[in-house]
Amino acid sequence: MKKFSDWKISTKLIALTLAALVPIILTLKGFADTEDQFFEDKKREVKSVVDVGYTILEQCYLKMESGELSSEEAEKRLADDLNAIRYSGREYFFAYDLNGYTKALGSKPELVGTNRFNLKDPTGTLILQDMIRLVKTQREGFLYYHYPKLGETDPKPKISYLKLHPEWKIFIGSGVYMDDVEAKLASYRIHVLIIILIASVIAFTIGYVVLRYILRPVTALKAAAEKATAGDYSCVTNISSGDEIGALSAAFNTMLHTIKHHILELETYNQKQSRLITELQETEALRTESEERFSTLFENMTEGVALHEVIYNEKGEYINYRILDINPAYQKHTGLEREYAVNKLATEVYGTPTPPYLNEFCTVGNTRVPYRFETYFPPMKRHFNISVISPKRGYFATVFEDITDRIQREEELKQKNEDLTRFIYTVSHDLKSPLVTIKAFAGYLEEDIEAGDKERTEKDLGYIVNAADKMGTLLDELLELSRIGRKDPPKKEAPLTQIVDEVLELLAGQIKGNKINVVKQTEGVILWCEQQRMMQLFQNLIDNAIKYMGNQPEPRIEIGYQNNNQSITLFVKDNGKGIDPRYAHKVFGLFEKLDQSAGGTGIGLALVKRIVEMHNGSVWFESEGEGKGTTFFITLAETKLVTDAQPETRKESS
Amino acid sequence: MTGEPLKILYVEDDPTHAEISLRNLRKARISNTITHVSDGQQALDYLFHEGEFSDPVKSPTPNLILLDLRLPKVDGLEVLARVKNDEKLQKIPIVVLTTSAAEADILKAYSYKVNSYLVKPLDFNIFSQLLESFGFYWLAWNTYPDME
Repeated sequence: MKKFSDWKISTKLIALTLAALVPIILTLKGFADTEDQFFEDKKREVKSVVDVGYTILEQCYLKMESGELSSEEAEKRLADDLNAIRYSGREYFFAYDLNGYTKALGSKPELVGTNRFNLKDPTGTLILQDMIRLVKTQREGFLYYHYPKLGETDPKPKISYLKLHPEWKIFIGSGVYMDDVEAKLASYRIHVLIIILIASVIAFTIGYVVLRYILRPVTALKAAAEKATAGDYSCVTNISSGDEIGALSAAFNTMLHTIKHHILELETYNQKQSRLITELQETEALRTESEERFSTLFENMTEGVALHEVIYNEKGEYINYRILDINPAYQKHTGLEREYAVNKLATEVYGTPTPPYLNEFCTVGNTRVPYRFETYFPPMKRHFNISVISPKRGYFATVFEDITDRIQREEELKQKNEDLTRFIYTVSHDLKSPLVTIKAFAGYLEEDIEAGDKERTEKDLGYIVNAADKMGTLLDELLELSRIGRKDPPKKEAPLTQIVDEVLELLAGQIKGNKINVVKQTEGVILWCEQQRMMQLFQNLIDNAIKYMGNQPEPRIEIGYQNNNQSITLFVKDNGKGIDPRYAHKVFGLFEKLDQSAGGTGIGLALVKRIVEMHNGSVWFESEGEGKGTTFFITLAETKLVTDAQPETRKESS
Repeated sequence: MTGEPLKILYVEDDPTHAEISLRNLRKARISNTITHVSDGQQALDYLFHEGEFSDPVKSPTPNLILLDLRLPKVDGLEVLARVKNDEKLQKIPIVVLTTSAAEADILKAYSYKVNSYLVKPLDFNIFSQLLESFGFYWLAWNTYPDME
């Protein structure tokens, strides 16, 4: 059970009201006791009446015992005496023997002498038998039952006192009806109840009013407090009473106001804080995201990235730099492992006496101004495009990309472009020359015909025809040159001997005519080539050798190969005029003719060079100078040597 | 003009072109003073009195050089550069006569201090006119420095 102090105020007030009812209830109890007393008085009254009646019975018995009266007379006397008695208005006596024979009955004297052993009350109770049982066992006592009043038939509650005369075996009794008592009591109870009711109504009314005046504002305060707890500070209880509760309400309102004010401040502060927190979280999220993004970028970018720290000497001058971090692409480009490079000095890592690009890098580290440059890095024999940026002073990051392939391609392209320009220039010049000739001599021809100079006319025509022929040859050979590598059938294996033999067959006339001794050592060499082109190549070289033989008394051409370190170098060697080293650079040029006396267009060696290039090989010559012969050397990709063969000499002489 | 006939060194590899030019110049009656060589090396040998041209009397220093650009052995532009870099020879006016109208050639020639650049026209009549004008201008009107 809760302590009284923990009770709700309403409960307390109700308890107080109830407490006020306690005396009333106690009074009621007193009335109940009075009621009991009333009954007791009735019973005592009946008993004393019956005691009086018993004395009459005793006297009759004594007279019968003394013989003054016979038993019949005694019984008659008893009946007469008792039947005559009335008290309290209509109350009377009755007497019966233990067998149920009526000895006296004030209410109905005519029934004296009859047996009423089986007398029942309206509820079916055998009244007389109950009485006989009572007196037999107790001799005297009270009995409650219902029985109609004298002159009435309606049974009423009745209490009787019975007393047995042990010797005569006759008992006497009388009873009083309780209904008048009950009726009296009932009116009395109603009276009391009305008093209690009025008292209660007054008590509850007072309680209610008090409750109303105390509890309502308190309840309102409580509701306001609860609302405030729930966060609603706007509701202010409207109480104007001047008592403690009014003061409390006012204080509460002030408090509520203060709380509201503080809450508002807090809310503003909270909003600020939560905004700040949100911003912080967002910033953090962004930072994390960007870090992740940069980390991914760092790990996956194709450019090598390295972060460095500048190393200064005691004078504050940069002298070196240390690698702090590198990405996978750095490792790939440089071939330097992370474990090897990180936390090492540049000089250690790159094995150079001075740190590479110290000035370029450390200037950026000092000034924080980004810098980009392309460079060739000799230790790695690679070209790099390097961007240098500085995240903070004393540090710099290099982002570099290997541009070696690009540079090489650019150089190749530049070379090709130059070749093409030279080619176009050369072609236009050399094709224009015969045209100028033709035009000019056509003009002269006109003049000479007009002058009738037949000799000069023929000469003019000769020039024209020659120039036209030259132009035709030039065009054919240019066409041929342009065809190389473009419309050739696929390469296949071909024995060098077979190629050289066929070429020698073609040139047999010239060789024989110039009495040239041809030596060849070609057995076992297998070329991977386009055979027709390869024949063209050898034809040009041998043809040149014949053409530039000069005044050699013992002309000789040697065709063979050298086997150096698994690489086969072919050569065509002559003992002719040789080449002035001053013009060496012009030998393979298009339309270059070092000797105007020899025929040809100057395309031959250009063709040779092109064929060799097409076979991924190289061609060069050696000559000790004019009159000392020339040797052209050729290497071709995938040339192999099958067997060792002895040099074979083939002499073509008259 | 000293009254001495002007000596012209004509460097031309194509014999027919040489023939054409000589024929046209002959018309201008100055053919007797022309020495023709057919490659760059011969031109240099002549000018620097080397090899077969070692005798300065037989190979006198010319007053004017008519130079083709595309030449065997030593290129015309190289001959031009060598002459213009020589303290004594640089005074000789050099007229380039070539089939090349290539921008690169023209620029190079002038940067090497060529005195005039003539492109051989395809049309014979124009070519004749050009050579005639050349003859008049360089041989009749032009004033030359003393080479001694």
